[in-house]
Amino acid sequence: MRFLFSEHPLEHMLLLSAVIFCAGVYTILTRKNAVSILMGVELVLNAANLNFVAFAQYTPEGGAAGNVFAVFVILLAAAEAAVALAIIIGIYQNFGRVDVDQADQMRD
Amino acid sequence: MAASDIVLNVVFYVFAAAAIAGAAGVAASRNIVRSAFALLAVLFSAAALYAVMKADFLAAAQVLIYVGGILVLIIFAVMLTHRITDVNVSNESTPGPAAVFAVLCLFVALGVTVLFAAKWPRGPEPRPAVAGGTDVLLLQYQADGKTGLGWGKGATHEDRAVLVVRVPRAPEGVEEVEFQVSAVPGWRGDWVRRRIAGGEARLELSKLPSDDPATPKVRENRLHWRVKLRDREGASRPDDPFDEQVDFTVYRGVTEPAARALAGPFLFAFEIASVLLLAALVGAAFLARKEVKEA
Repeated sequence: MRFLFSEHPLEHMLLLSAVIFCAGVYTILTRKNAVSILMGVELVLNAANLNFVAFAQYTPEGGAAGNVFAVFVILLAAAEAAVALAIIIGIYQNFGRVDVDQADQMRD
Repeated sequence: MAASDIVLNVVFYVFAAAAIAGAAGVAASRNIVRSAFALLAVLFSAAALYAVMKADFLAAAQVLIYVGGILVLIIFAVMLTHRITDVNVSNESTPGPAAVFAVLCLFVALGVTVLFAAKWPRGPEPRPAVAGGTDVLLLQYQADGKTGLGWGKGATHEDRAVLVVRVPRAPEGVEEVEFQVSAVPGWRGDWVRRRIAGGEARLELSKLPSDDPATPKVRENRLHWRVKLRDREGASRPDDPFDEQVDFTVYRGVTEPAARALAGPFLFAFEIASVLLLAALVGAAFLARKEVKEA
């Protein structure tokens, strides 16, 4: 009973986001495919967002600032995903693959 | 354990398990489409966990933007660029064992920091104290910046507020709890007495007339309230450690404060973010367009 979520909500959330963060880092480290690496980045951003919201509960005003930061993180993730996928499609048109270690030239 | 706590625990553990399974799926799956759908599980679970943490606006935004936008974009890119089953997992710069070792080190460091090294603000945690030879369970709850400690629990609804003080084992002679509620910091209303029944005392404020200055308006975002433990004659003994006035702050939810923050102190950052999104849109369209070769 002492170690349940309702007794220690902050620690549970932080550990969960640590797991998601580590999975994201592992994905970024081990993949060659650029789309897979982008998924790892999304995992890392989601872990950061969970931390923002978890900590925001303990701030005055009920965590408005933490929620606003999380909204900005989601916005940045959307912009980043759009640009990254445009770049990935460009790489695919030039190289025929989307492996990041093969795209070593910035021109045709 | 209260029923709401049981529901909270069940919801958290179910969605936490889904999130961890999804994250593991993203990290381990060799099929990139399966990775994308595992990412879907993670994103949905994160939305549910935002709801658990009372960030309801963020939960909706997560579903709309991440699941509805970013994930669809990723799946589009997968379909457009790649032969689906052909995912090369091995990356020469970081071979598998090295990556596993590095990530394990990272996770152990994070876990030790979270569990042992850092001093976090505590959730509702029993804090026993001795009053007249009797243990009284004090439940700490979200308090405002000034006091940090308090006991009791509160919730506000559309037109009413419920303030609960839990005293499972009251000190000798203590049978009543006095509440003092106000909607404005520094301003105090009258003390209201409630009997302790079933280990807790409960005060409901409902449908308050807004023109009466003596009653707090529940329309406010927060209520400040203080409690005292009293015996039957209404006297608080001088050695009673609970005759201490503590400010409580009860919030109605975070959507309205977040909206006010977005339209107020964060307005400039909000506008910059919109310009960033526009620039990203134009840049993405520029990068992804087919070049027209001039003859």
